[in-house]
Formats: sequence, C-alpha cells, structure tokens
Amino acid sequence: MSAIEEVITFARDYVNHPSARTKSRKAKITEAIHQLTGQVLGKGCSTCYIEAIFKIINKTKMANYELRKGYVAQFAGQAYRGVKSFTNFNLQTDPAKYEPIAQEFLRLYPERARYFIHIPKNAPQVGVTPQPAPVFTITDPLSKFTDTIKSVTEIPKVTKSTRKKTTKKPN
Amino acid sequence: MTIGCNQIVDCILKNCANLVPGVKDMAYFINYDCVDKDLSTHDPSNSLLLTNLILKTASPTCYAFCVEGYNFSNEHTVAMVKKTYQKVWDHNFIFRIFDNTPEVKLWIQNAIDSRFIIIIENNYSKEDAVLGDGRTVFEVLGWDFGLELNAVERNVDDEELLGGWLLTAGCSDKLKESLPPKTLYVTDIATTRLAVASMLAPCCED
Repeated sequence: MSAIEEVITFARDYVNHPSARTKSRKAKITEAIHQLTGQVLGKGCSTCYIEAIFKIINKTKMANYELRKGYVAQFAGQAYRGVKSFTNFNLQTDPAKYEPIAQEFLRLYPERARYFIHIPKNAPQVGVTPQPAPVFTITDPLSKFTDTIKSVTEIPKVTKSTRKKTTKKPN
Repeated sequence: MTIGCNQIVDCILKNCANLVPGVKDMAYFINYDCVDKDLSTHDPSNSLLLTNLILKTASPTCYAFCVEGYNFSNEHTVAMVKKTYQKVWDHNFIFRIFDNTPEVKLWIQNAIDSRFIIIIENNYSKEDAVLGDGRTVFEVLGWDFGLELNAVERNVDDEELLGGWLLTAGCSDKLKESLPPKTLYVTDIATTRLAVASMLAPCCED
C-alpha cells in the first residue's frame, strides 16, 4: 500500500481523534504530500497535517481522468450527452459529468489515450477491442480432393469404331 | 527533388476584409522544453498550421504563463533573413512591464536565462465561411528553437513607460527560425480558445 493510500485509510480517524495522531502517521502524511505536491511539511505545525490530509484527498479524487494541457478532446460528428468537446478543466471542475464522457471518448477513440495523463485503473481497457475467438474446423483433405475430382465431368471415350477409316490413295 | 517542393502552387486573391493591426495585450509564454512536439500536430497539407499544441507532463508543471501589457503595449515583428544558402525567419516580440517589484525583477532574471515560445493573439480575426472564422487570431513564435530575451531596458525617467521595463524577445543571433510564426487553430476559434485556456497557469486567473 502506498503512502497516499495509507493516509486515505486513516484520514477520518486522524482528523476526529487527537489520540490517533501518532508519529508514524505524521510521517506517512509528510511522505504522501511530498509525493503529490512536492510540499515539505513543517514538523511543529499540527494543523498543517490536517490541511495536508484534505489536499491529499482532493488531489486523489481529481486524478481519475486527466488530459494533457493544451488538448481539447472532441467528438467527431454528433455530441455525446450534449458535450461536443472538453478539456482537463472540465474534468477537474465537474468530474461527475465529464468522467463518463471521457470514458465514452476513450471507447470511441482508443488511439487518443496518449493525450491522457491519467486513466483510472478500473476503466475499460483502451486500445484493445475484444475479438471473437477464431473457430477452427477440421476437414479431411482427401475427401476435399475426391469431391473436386468427382465434380469434373467425364469426357466421353473415343473408341476406334467411331472413327472413320481413311485410306490413303496412291498418288 | 520532390515535385512541388518549394514551388508556388496556389493563388492569392484580393482580401475584401479590412485588416486590423496589432496584437492583444495578453501574451502567453511557454518554456521551450515544455512543448511536447511529438504529440503536437500540424495540418498535413500546411506545416504552418498548428492544429494541436500539447504541453509535456513534467515537474515543475508546464504551463502557459500570462504576460499582460497595457493599452496596446505589445508589439510583434517578423522578418526574413537571407543567409548564404537558405532564407530563415527572425521572430520578434517587444513587450513592456509596467511595474518594478522584486517579483517582476525575478521574472526577468529567470527569463533572461531561458528559452520560450510565445503565443500571441492578433487583433485581426478574419471571417471565413469556408475554412472557418478566426484562423488569423493565434500565432506561435519560436517554434523551432524558442525565443530568448535579446534586450532588457529600464529608464526611470522615461516619459512613456514611467520607469517600467522594456523587453525584446527574439531569435538567437545565429539560429533563426525555419518558418514564419505558426498559426494555432484547433478546429474552430472557440475550440482554439479552449485549448489555450487549458494550458494557462493558475496565476493567470488572479
């Protein structure tokens, strides 16, 4: 379990009960906030730890889908749920509305996953479209050839009796 | 030699729209190393039309930083430079800072040692029913090498600037740009504005 995940598990307990604010937990918060934002927490500041917990929770909430800066995701043709295009700003400010749209966008255009910084782990696999398993049928190769041979119409035999006898006349 | 390479293949007809000079007071500076050239895209038939400008995911976070002038204080010029064998382009952006705080001086000091591309917004927005409105609005300077600050000056007795800073960004003395400034246009002007907005640093909102 990463430091960030660990902080999320004890966050409620830490905020509500002063007795739960142990040194090891403070160390985890320091580590997690440094990983996320690069911020270095002051050791003497007890409220800083609580503020850091809220920052960690907010940051991890937003990191579901994240688009690269400068990219505008656009649906070709008609809009999806009334949305024709969206940016990272939309994903951050209204994730409830735009995350399903991002999911649909990736389903339609799996090759554009490269424009995403973050795609949630539980999102449907992009880039791999499940194909039905190929069905193999075993045929007897000999029967195939015999059928083909049978289908060839027989040429009537030319017998000697049917031929006209020609006699060479002396010159 | 490729057929059609470096040859004129189209006409220029009379433009009935009125040209509007000048650039907007807001310009956007992006550190040169922040531009993701692999993911940014161009129009397949015109390398001067940038259809996507994507920033890298790096630490510290890559942004487009706003530099806001005042009352048409920003200027832009572009000029062809004839070299012995090839012709190249000199991109210039002159801007003014109407302040002299320690933060402004730190910004200038950092900018002196860096290279950056600049997105400018032209006042001229051409209406075009066929190709789309606003294809003349956004331009990107310094795509190949990035621009640098070539001159920084402050005259406390200046009657126009009143002690503000006058800065000139441009190409380096030796390496010039291979092309004129690129046009930034993503599908339509509204989407282009969205794309620019998605790059902006949090300090732009202050």
